Amino acid sequence: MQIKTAVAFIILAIVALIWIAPVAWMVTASFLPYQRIIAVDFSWNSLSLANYLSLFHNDAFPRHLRNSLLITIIGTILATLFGSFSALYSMRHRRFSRYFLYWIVSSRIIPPAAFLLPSYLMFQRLGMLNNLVTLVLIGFALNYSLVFWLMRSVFAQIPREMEYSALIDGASKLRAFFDTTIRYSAPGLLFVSLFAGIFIWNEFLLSTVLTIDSSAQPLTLLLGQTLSLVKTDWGVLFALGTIQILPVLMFIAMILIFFRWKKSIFLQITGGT
Amino acid sequence: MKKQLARRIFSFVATVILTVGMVSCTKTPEQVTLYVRAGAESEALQKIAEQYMKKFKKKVVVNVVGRDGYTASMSTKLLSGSPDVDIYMVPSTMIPELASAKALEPLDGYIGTKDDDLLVQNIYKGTTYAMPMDISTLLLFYRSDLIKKAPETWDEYFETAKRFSKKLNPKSPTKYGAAIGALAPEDLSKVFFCMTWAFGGEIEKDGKPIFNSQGSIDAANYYLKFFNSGVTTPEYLSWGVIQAFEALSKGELAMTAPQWNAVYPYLKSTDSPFKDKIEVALVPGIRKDGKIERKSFKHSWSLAINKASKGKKEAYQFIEYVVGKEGAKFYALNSVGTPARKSILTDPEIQKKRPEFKYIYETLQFAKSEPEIVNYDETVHIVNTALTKILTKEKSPVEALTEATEKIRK
Amino acid sequence: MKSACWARSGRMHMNRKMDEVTYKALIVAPLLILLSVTLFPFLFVLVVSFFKVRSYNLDSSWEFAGIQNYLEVFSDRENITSVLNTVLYIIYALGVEFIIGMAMAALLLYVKEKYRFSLILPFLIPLLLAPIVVAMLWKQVLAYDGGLLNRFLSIFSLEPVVWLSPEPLFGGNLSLQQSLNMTHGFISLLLVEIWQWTPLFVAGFLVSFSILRKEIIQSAVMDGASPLRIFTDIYFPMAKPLLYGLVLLRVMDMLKVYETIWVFFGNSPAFANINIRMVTTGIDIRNYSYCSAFSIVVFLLIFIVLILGRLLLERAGRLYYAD
Repeated sequence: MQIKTAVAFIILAIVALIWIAPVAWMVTASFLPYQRIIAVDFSWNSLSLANYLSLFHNDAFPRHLRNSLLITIIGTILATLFGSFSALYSMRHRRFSRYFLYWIVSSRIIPPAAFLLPSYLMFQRLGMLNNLVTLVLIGFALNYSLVFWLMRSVFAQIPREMEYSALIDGASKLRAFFDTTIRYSAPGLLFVSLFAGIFIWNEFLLSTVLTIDSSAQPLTLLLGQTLSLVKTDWGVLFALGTIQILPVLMFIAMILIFFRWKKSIFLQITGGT
Repeated sequence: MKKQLARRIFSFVATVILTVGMVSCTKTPEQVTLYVRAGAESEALQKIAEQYMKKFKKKVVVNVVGRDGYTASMSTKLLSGSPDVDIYMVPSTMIPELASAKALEPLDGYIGTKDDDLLVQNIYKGTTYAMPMDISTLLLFYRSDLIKKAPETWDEYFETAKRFSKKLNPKSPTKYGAAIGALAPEDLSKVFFCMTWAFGGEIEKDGKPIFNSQGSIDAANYYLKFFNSGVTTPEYLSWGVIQAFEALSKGELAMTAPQWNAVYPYLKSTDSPFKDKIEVALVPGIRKDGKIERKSFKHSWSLAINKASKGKKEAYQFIEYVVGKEGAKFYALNSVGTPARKSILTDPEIQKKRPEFKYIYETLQFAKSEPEIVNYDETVHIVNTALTKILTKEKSPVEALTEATEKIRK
Repeated sequence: MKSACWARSGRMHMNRKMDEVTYKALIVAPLLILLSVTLFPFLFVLVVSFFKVRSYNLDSSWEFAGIQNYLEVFSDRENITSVLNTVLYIIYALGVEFIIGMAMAALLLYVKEKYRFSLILPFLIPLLLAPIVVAMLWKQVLAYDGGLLNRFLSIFSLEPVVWLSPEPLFGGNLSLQQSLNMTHGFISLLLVEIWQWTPLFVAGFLVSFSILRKEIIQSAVMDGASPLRIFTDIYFPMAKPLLYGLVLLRVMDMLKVYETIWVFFGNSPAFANINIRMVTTGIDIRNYSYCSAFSIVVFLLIFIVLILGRLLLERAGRLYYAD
């Protein structure tokens, strides 16, 4: 038994390391100059922030970053707000929302690319190409159903009786709502919104089609453009990539921390066994 | 209470959205804004824009955009009718489509007399829609220290390449003997057209496109022979002008043809140890009745004014300078660009600084250009599809090229 | 006292009505936005697909074309290839992810529960990475000259391979390999997909294993059931809904693949999938009516697949989208 466990552990550890290797390579290589990357040559003294600093040589990176931040934050707020309210409503008024439910879920399933030409033509007519509002709307539309779907299972964990008992105890309607439902679903809400946020942060295809220059393009597009420039400077590209995945790394770190402290939060989202 | 909260949230969100919407409009009036593709032309344009700003004290902003998908992003922007770019750098082949979409400002009213010195007139259906800024043609580049006499025919080119590829000749000083551009979409189709003409074929017949003339089929067979022989990189489908240029400057490549003339000044501007050893020559041809018959390719990058632009007069002033004799001379002497003016290309003084001009001008005498049609991009895509099938040996040249011809004629 | 009660209940009634209004407003608003971003453009495209609309006549007159565009879409080999590429991608990737996921999850069972999470965590990172970053990273890893993988191979004195090419994998019958997409390039695409998404299957299988109750397995073992029997008759029926759901989820996401193929191969027709094909016809070639017809056809195809998927799910005994 002991040996089996040890062997399994070793195999899994090796596999986990190999799995992580490309990402670790990218993050490390972002601190190396271009030549060393090609030669896969790690000399510790050549580590530098040069690639990151070169991002600030021109306007492009700050603009793209600003766009990504704005789109992500506003889009996430909208998607979370409306998504969770809709989820709550649909949980409490089952009769009216059955069809709504199916429709929402199926809108997640059509690939965004099928909306490519339609949304391009429509926004072009409206003069809304290359506009942050457009991208926020798209981010919201694409992730609304995700939030809806996930928040439904979060709210399903919270019995309505809690709110009723608070009401009976004399709290005002608003207070009852906040102190029970919102408080217990808050961690789940947080995670779901982070999830949606990451998806909006990572969006590429529709952003490419609906924008034209750096006044509205998110960071992902800068990555795509830098890839196709005259010479592929992998150092700069890896730096951009590392910045792009920073939220994800932070998210995972947060999961680890939360896991240590409050295991119950997970049970809320995964429906707990 | 709840309603108040909802109302407050809603108005906050609305305000943010409105602010964000307004933030998106950033263009100061009275500046000329350009939209250009990254490469030799954009570098040259930036130089001459600086000169223009110094000389005329007027502001010029050059937006440089990635090479890949440039025509798509450029036409998206142009066709969307947004006024924030005044001048677009357009390839001459796209002018029919853009002009038909009424996205370009006709320039006949701004131009005075017809300028015969220009080697390209961007006229579509009788109206001038753009002015040529830079002209490109295909030449041969080779390492003069390794190769005494440049190959004159395509067969010679192939044989010479064999001697200089490490795979076939372990003693070769260079890794690859030769390179032919096969990167989609631009290099693949344009270089193939050049080869078609070189082998005596046609791509247009009776006003309709044709891809399966004998010359095309011979060119395709040459490709198959060339790319599978080991004289060039196994990554040939990803090699365009940039990769060939890099290989030449690192000393890994002995020859490249047909290759864009921009490689030459680019090389001279680097500190590659081989830059003085690379020479330019006319593109190889076919031996016929004892004479060498050569055909090459030409196309131009032009500056066109956005129909929706709010500063057309200022925009034209800039174009007039860049394309005019004085600007073109500056362009030729201070950048890696190649102006489309006969007087500049044949000027002996200028040729001292840009020796390749002599070859460019001579090549332009026997260079052909692509037909100017409204569905140019579609044509390129169909040809590239056929060529990819041929090169991956999925279809034979005759089959694939005939299929392509039928497709484009629909 | 009585009037106070009445007043309070009156206020409660009014509050409830306002709540209803607020609730409804909060439902209707996103619905409208969603509709305008999806339904209205969709209808526009439907109309466009019956005319001849290109970039240059979008603002002027449209020639009526009937079902001409649809005929062209169905007869064009490139469209068929792109659909085939998409389908083969899904089948191959799913198969491998399924198997590796199950194997990993089984291995994880041997490890004590408290260590499982930390072991699986590094696995989960690829799941959330932006596809464009993954594509860019792997393009460097798979590069012929100086790519990480080829360098790794050269340590073992193996020849460097052109990973991103349409070369068939093995010698011999080329056309068979090409029609089955057994090319270096396709394998590279699958490699990236598997790298990024197998962890999801590992997690899914792990969850499905944890649904099983130890007592049931123990009693089955005591009854003399073989491992295979336990697997097919006990585990599989219980895990089916979860696994089907997982598969459906992945299939829908695989239909969205774009960045990897674009970064590796541009819009090369040999590797184009449905999304790339749509971008090619709509943005690169700008044959709007053709692209519209193609979009509608893709919509219908996916709709059919969706209905089939749901039918299968219902046959699995439990609806995935449980209330």
